[in-house]
Amino acid sequence: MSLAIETYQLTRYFGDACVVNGIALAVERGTFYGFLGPNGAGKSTTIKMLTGLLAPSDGKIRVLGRNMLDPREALEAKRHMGVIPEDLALFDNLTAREYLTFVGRIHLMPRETIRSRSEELLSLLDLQGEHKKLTLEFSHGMKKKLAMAAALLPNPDLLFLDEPFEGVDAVTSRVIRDVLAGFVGRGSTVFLTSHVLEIVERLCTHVGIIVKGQLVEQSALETIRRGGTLEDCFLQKVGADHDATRKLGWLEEVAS
Amino acid sequence: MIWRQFSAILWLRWRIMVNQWRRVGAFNAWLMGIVAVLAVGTAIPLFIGSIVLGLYVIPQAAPAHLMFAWDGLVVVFLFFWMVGLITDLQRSEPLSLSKFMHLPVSPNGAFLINYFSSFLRLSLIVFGPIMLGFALALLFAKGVSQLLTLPLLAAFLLMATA
Repeated sequence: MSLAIETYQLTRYFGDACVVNGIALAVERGTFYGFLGPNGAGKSTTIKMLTGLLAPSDGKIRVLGRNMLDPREALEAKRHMGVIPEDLALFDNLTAREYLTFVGRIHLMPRETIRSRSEELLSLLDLQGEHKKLTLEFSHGMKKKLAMAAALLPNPDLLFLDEPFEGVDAVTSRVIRDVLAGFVGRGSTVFLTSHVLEIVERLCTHVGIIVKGQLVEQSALETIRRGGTLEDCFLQKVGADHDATRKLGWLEEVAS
Repeated sequence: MIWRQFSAILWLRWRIMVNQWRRVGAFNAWLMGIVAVLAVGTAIPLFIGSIVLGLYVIPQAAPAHLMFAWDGLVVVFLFFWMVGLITDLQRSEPLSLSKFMHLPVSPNGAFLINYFSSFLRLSLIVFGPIMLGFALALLFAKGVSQLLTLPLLAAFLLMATA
């Protein structure tokens, strides 16, 4: 099977600090890949390098068969990608419909397609009634839904989602999960980071775990779990199983 | 950068500006709309007027007076440009490159388009044609040696707006 994402010795330094240390990702097309790691492990830095938001210090990146270090090939790859960046990259002074129109125009989509898909996405993500509101008046969850709509609008082959379920209500979370499951079902690829292990366990077919900038595990979900839960495996890999059992004696004292 | 993407970024700037005006109130939106239409409407007459006036005045003017005229234009332009810039910094939404980088636009193209579309300010729409007209009048009145004024004017505008 061909690879949607492939990295070789991917490395990123910030000053002297090595945030991503020579990782080799291999994400097959048609898979739902969960990229896990504790806070500060290098997940967002990796996703930024994969989507062309940040240049690597060293290493190679191929996304959808294109070399992301070549500007022309990166541009071609971006035409087939949808991204929810960490900061969402929305414009405060646009309405949801205006933002989707802008994204569609940048993707060179026909006006009629932009209009019809925007209506469908806004309706599906329950943003239809907010057509007069500017994005700056949106809650965090609504912003996330708008970013999701923008990522799906060009009907991409590959989706990069940085914490897509954070701050989203249960109903929308269910809708997003269903949309993503259908998206992968047709043969497209999803690469997501999330702290919600239950969702990763329910959705993902493959998982990679990054700890202190190094990829410590990468395999099919079933292989990683080995009959246990993803949480147990994750805590073991990040070395937090011991810390998690520590107790705060003063907090457990009976209140007088 | 493809023309449709260029027009999309111009449209984005336009929508952001209109929504900002609306946020302040309907009266403000109307007022700013009228000012913008007036500014754009007067740009061409100002350009032609400054050429005609320049051709009439420049031949009789002393070099020192021409220099004072340029100084005056530059100072007044910079004053209004700074007023616009400070207002923008306080109120408007910066279109930083990071908001475009995940989209299929080349970073260089996005930077250039964003930069050139930032020229759409009232101060530049009004004073740009006046200064260009004055420079052309100087060229017609004083000869080819004044061609140097044009790159100097472009350099000054690029320096002020960068």
